[in-house]
Amino acid sequence: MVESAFTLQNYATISNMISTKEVKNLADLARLELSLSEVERFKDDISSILNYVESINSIDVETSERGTEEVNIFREDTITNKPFSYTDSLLSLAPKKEGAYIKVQKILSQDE
Amino acid sequence: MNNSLLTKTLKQKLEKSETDAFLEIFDIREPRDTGALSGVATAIKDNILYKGHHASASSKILENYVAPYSSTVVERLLGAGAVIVGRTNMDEFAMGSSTENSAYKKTKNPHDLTRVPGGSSGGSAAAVAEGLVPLAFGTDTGGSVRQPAAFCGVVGFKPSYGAISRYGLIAMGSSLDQAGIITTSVQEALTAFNVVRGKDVYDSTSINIDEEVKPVRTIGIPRALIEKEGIDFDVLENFNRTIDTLASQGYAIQDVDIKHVEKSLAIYYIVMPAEVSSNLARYDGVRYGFSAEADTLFELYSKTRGEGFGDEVRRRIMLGTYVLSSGYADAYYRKAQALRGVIREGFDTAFGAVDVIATPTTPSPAFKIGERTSDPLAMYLADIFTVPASITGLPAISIPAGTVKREGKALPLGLQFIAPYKKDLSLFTLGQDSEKII
Repeated sequence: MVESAFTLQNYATISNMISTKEVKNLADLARLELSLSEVERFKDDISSILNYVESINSIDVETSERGTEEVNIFREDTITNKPFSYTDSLLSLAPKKEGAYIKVQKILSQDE
Repeated sequence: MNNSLLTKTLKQKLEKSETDAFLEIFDIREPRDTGALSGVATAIKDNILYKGHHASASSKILENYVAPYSSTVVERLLGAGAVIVGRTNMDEFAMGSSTENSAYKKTKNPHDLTRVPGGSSGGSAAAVAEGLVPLAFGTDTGGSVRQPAAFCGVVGFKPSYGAISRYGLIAMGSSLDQAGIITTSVQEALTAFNVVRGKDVYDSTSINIDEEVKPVRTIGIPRALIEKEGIDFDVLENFNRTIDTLASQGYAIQDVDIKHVEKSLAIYYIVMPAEVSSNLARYDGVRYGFSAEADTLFELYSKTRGEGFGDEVRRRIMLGTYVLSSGYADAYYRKAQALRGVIREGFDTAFGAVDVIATPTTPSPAFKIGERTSDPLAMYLADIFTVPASITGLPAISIPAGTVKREGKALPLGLQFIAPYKKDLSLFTLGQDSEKII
């Protein structure tokens, strides 16, 4: 069997790029509940990935973004479907509803 | 083939199937129309919407999601007479290179059932390679059509960015996502491409490609990219032999240097997670999909997303959140976007000297199931040769080209051709000629 020539040790062993606290903060920002063991695992994973992508910083380049070549595509703002034609199929997907409304958790709590 | 016969044949094939390529076989209907794909059994990846049918992106968070409308791809396929027979397994939200990140099942490689089919469109590639369907659609963000096609020994095509409408595709990285086509021959891929391609009012980034086909005479080889990054020795040997064969048939071969192209994967793993973290914010447990029991709104979001998303998806969302966060966005995201432009310019310069660029599609043949699941970076490196065309929006095709032996089994390899922007059609003439030669 031929072994793959990839050497990942350089990236995989460095796991100090991001702290446990930072991972917890990221998870909060991204609204992802993680267990303590997941936090530790993701800390190592994200550190090794960041260490890998870090290599672009050795290149000097003027920071000007470049996206698609097509710009400002306009169209007429017209109604393309009959009113309410999607209401039932979209509402039927909602986890919680009341009548023709999607039900959400209270947004403001009493102490706010 | 009439409809009941199609159903019967597919069912017979599925009974013997060993790859677990499909998540669901639909109730097969009579072809809606007639056209270039009349009666062609077509599989779609589980992230392509087909009205009234489940589409889960192989995620728990969309387990019960039923598409309220059809994607443009599906509409055009139905309009050409295709029969959409089922949805195929994939890495969750198209994040992965082995289809092992599916929340539902592991798909196997038909050439060796202990190996992965590649990914993320692994179900689509395995379904075509096993002969279950002649045509399958996938999506390709960093190689997700070309890489599994190479691993399974079939043809995989990713068009110029915008050539196929993204309307009705479950989004991952919107500046990179493209629908792609998997078939057993280049001709069939072209037939399917001609059905689905072209501008669409529902996708403002969709484009018409150039209809003129310029014959390919000169093939460029980015030696620095291919030989610098780790590549299995016999995969490189096989590639060099293939290129020699093309040279002996009259193609001119020329080395090309594309500035910074070896940084493509690093750039990709900044831009893509950034777009992922933004696109996947929509899964909030409120409007559709899985919804966790919770007391507060914050808890509803974090429990729903924490339980509904798998490891790889959560990893990329957090990575994206990091590279977009204040203080890091300039160093990571903006820098990566700027470098994308530099690499595209590098390709454009190279295309001044050569008509297409060739690389192996992957640095290794299909790897073992479980071999890379504990090391995300090792998994990412499977896409090292496919990512450059993704971050630059260039069209690329992978065609079967030789095999290498692993544990006594012959495993297929792919040859990738990359063409200039909007010159997709030249890939098919070159691909058809190459099929005959190699």
